[in-house]
Amino acid sequence: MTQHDDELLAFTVATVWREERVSCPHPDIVQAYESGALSPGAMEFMEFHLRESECPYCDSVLQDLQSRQKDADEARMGDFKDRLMHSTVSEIRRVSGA
Amino acid sequence: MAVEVHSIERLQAMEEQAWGELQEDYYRRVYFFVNRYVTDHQTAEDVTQDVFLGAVRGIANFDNAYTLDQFLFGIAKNRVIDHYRKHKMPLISPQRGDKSDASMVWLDNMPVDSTAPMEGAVDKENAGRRRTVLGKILKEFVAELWDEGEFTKLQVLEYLFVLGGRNKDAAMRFGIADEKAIAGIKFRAIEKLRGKARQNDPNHSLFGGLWEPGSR
Repeated sequence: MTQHDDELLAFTVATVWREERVSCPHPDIVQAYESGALSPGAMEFMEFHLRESECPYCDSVLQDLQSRQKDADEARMGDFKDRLMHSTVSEIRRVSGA
Repeated sequence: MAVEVHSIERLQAMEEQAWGELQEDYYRRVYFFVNRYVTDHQTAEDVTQDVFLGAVRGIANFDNAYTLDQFLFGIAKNRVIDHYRKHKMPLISPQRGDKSDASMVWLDNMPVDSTAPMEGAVDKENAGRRRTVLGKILKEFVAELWDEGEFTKLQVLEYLFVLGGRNKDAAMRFGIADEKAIAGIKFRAIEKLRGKARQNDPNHSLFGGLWEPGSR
C-alpha cells in the first residue's frame, strides 16, 4: 500500500465518517448524557464529540431536549411550528394537486 | 425524547397528519442544526421551513437505503450550504488549533459527498456501494469501541479522521505517551477496517488496492 493509498483511505474514511455520522450516538444516549446517566468514559466521549468536534447533529438533539424543558422556548417555537405546518400543508396540497 | 417511527408510505401519500407528526418530531432538531450555521433566528426559521418544503417535494423519491433522519438532515445540510453560497460566504473547514467553529467540518461539501440523500441521483454507481459498505463497516467498528468501553480510542480516531488532527497534537490532547502510540491506534484501526472490508467485499471489487491481501 502506497502513501497515496493511505491518504486516499483517510480521506474516504473521513468523508464517510462525517456523512454517515458514524460516531453520533442514538438520541437516547444524548438524553442519558444530558441527565448525567452515562459512564465516565462515555460522558468524556460525548463532551469531546459535542464540544470539540462540535457535531451539529448531536448538538441539535441536545438543544431539542433542552428546549423542550423550557416553557418560554416552547411558546416562541409554538408560533413558529404553526407557521411551519401551514406552509408544509400548503406544499403538500400543491404537490398532491388537492 | 421519544423517537417516533414514521411511515414513508403515509408521507408519500401526502397525509397531512403524518407530516404533522414528522414535523413535530424533527422541527426543533432541524432548526437547531440550521441555527448553528446562520446568524439570526429568522434566517434559521426560513431555512428550516425550506427544509420541510424540500422534504415534501423529495419524499416521492425516498431511497430506503437511507433513514428519514439522514433524508431530512441531508436536505438541511444542502440548504445551509446553499445559504452560504447565496450570500457568498466561504465554507472553510477549520484547522486544528485555530479558533474557528469546528462544526464547519461537518458541512464539508467535497465532490464525493455533495449530494444529499434522495435529493439527487445518489448511490447510482460503485462509489455509492463503496460508501454504503464503508459506512456499515465504520458503524460496526464504532459500536465495538462503545461496547468495549474504548472511548479514548474513539476520541483519538474522531480527532484524526474527522477533525484532521495530527498525531503529535492528538498525543498531547489525549495525554498519550507519544505520537507513535497514536500512529499505532490509527494503524490498528485501519487494519481492523481492512479486515471488515474483506469480509464485506469478498471479490475485492469495491475497494481495489486499498484492501488487497498483503497490501501492507
